[in-house]
Amino acid sequence: MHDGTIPKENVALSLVGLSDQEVSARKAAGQINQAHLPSSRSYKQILRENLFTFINAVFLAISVVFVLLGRPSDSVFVAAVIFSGVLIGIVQEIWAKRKLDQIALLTRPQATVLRGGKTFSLDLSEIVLDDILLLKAGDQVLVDGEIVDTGRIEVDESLLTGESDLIPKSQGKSVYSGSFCVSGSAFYQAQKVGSETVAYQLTLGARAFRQVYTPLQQEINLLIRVLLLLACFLWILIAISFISRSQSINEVTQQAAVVAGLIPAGLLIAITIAYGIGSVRMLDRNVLIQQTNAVESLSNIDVLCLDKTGTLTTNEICLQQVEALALPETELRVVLGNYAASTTASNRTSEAILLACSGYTKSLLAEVPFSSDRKWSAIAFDDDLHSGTFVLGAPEVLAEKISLTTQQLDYIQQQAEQGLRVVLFAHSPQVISLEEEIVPQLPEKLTTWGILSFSDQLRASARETLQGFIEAGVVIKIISGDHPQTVAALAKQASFSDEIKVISGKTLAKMAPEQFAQAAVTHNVFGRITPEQKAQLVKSLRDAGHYVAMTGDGVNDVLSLKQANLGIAMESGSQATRSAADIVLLKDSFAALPQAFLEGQQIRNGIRDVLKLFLVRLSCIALLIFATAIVADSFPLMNKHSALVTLIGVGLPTTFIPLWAQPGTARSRQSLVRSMLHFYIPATITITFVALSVYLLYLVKALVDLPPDLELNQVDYGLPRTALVTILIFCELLLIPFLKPPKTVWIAAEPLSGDWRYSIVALLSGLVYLAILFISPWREFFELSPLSVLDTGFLGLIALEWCLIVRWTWRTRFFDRFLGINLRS
Amino acid sequence: MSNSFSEIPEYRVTRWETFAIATVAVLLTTIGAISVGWRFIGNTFTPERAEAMANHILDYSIPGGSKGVFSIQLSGAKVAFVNSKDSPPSTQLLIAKIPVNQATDTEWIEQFVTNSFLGEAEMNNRITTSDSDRRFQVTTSQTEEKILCHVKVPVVIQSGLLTQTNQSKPQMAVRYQMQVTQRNEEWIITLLTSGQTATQTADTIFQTLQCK
Repeated sequence: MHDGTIPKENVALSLVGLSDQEVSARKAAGQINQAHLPSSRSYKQILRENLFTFINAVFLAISVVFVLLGRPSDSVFVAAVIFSGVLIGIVQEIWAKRKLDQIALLTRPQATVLRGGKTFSLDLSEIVLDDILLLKAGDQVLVDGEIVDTGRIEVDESLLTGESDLIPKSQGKSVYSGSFCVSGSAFYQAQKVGSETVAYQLTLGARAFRQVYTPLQQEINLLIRVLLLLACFLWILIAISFISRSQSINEVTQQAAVVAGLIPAGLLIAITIAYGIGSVRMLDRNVLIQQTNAVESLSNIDVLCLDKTGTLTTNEICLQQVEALALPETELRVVLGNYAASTTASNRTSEAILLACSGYTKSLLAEVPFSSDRKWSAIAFDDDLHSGTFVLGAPEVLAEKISLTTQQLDYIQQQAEQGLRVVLFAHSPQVISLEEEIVPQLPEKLTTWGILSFSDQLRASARETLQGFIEAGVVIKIISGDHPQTVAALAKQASFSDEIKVISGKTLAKMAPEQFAQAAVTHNVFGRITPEQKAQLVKSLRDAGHYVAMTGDGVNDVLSLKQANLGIAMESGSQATRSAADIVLLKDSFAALPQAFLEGQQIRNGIRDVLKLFLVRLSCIALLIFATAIVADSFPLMNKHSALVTLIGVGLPTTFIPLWAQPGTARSRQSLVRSMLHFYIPATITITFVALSVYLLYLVKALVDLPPDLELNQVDYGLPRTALVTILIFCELLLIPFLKPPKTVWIAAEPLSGDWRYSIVALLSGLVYLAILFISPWREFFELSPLSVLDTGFLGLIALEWCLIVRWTWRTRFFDRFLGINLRS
Repeated sequence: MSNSFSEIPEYRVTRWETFAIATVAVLLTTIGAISVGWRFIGNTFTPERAEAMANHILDYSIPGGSKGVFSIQLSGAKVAFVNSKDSPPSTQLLIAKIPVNQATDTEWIEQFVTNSFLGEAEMNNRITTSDSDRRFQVTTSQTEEKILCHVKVPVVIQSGLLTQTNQSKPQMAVRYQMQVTQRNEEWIITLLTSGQTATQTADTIFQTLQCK
């Protein structure tokens, strides 16, 4: 795309860029920036990480042994159960990858390239070696190169070096892909393109997939590791038993497969599905999820740090008032207009001035572009009428060189308290000197010519949005580069807290690290904060045990975004900020954030419910393995039985639970553990006891019915196992109404849900099981024995009695009291 | 919607509820126990099952054929009782096969097989509990070395008079009692024949006994 605009400084330097022939020659020589920038994990990586895991290897080995034993259906079943999970995982991750790639493409920086004296907006893959590229504030440096014009820029190389100080760059200095231009503008020449640049590392660091686990994911990972250890222990026991008791390979393989089923592969599937659903739902609400667990992560936050400019306000400011001090307002407005029109690094402030005060573009002797870190900008006109240096900056920064009267200070205070952003316009007869590599210094002998008051527009939905978070128990903190009073006034306007405790960056800078950390926790409005202070505040909050989300839009927010547990960027923000964020609010839809928060709670609650059901099943099976070994010297289930219990008893219902989960308030970790124990222990112990009793009853029946020509060790376990599978499935399905009580009669462990859908799914799952039990080919496939209607009815009655028993244990808090669990604390 | 604990109402569980739950639990347990017991008794006194069990333990041949009376399989031990087909039965054979060197208490089975039943009346396919020794009055008793299952074993041979409940006159009867151990298993056999040819019949049947 042809822009046609050539910045004036380059006209002076006669930069023309490469000709078409030179570009073609370089393309032919392969000197083109075509190295693929990974925006997410590669397909190979996704396949490798999903397929080649320890547990998959175990399942595959078991599957192969079944084939060798001539039991292909068992083999297919084992493979199907585990690889359906793997398949879902791969599909979900590929979907996420494509989404990430799509986002990367949408937000893919366009290069402004100078060729043949004209500028073109090109895809970065079209850059060739020696191309001249334009770099402006907020732009990403796309290839490695050297500044070739007189422009001056400040570069954030934090993503490359970790050093947060802005680096001034001028002609002859190198710029590296992976850094961001924070202020100023300049042309640079591409010296390294494609794979020779550090762009790979940049993209990986700023945008690519990064694995950050939420507390819930960490808990589940811990659980899976514990279960893996348990499974390993049981596999060793099975191996010893195989050697010492000369069991058949088929028997041992069946047992190994059942033990492998203790590792909750289905739980991971449920989580993957929940995250996938959350991402899709959020996309409809203009929230782009860049990190798969970001929505769930959002539900964990207890501190939300907002960057005032981008999130609370519309990002559009207007010049409300000009207080002329040294000359008439009309004349001051002319100078201001010229200043705004002539600056090469325009920003929102200069744009607002230009809108209110018209002016002409004049040639410049020197310029210091604005940076959020420095908080001032300066211009020296190449004009006798406006000789000297004009400075535009924050009052407290310019105060070092200016003495303001009490009246002026009162005026500034008054304006700030009204939520207005106050900027001083000052003049020095000195022409500012800009030595290379030296951070620009304010000129001496500054005189205040005027006080400018700008107003920020509060977003329409800001108040409601903040209120939503406050009601959810989230502490809101505003961390802004603006004047503390301005920020405080906006905070009041947004009514985000009853008590506004303001602190400025300057005060924080004087504090010892311990005091700084304390201030981060106790204050809620932070003004005049530098980018590194922002990051430090977020870090302090995290160190204090908070789960912190940070919103931002500017390049200066990148560091703090990466420091937070969850980074949220506005679509209109800089490329760098969007890249570093976990969530991007499309159309700057700040109002969508509470919805995302609720969605996250929904996902988290859904996963916790699923986790409870899985825990009960796994523990019951594990306890039954030990119990039957001790009591009956046998193994309770076959491979297909275990799979059936998982599929019908837990798998089917848990597919729907995340879909219908409701948002709910977050519990503390201690409370969560108590809640899990309160539900899990009575359910597990009672189900195991009832299931073991049923198994033993039917085992005795099988022994009584043992044909005369068979020995005791030849007893047919078909009936006891069928009865065990039946009672386990009945109890697990009846556990669902207790988890989501549709009526008060089911309230014992969890509060009333009033939602019948869960119970209906449980009922339908029960019918599916009965169909399997009574339809001969299905029953035979699952290696179940025929169970009479009378026996099935009897087991149904036992399951109902179990309901009464477990309800009694929950309602009387029998186990809670025994374990000393205080639910009300 | 919050799901904190405070939203779970406190429910008072009445004593009646606790009692009802416990009663139902006991009832279901009783039903389960009765169903197993009923099946156990049914299987024990199934003639076909008893005969199949006896045939599984031992090869034997009773003149005129045999019919099963009862069979039990407990703790790895198998016990079967068969009669001759005539009424009242002139031949009664009680066999037990018990695993040796196994951590099961099989002593009571040995006691049961050696001391019980023989000479009792069969009424409606059920055994009364009367003591057989009172009905079988032993007049002579001797121990002979005989070959059973290819092994020379001491066989206790008792002769006397047997009074069956539905007969007024006592009949001549012979009882063989023997044990043999092979392949970590012990066979305990008691054979009772009655009538004029009791001695011959007992000897004939003894010749057909073969461990399995």
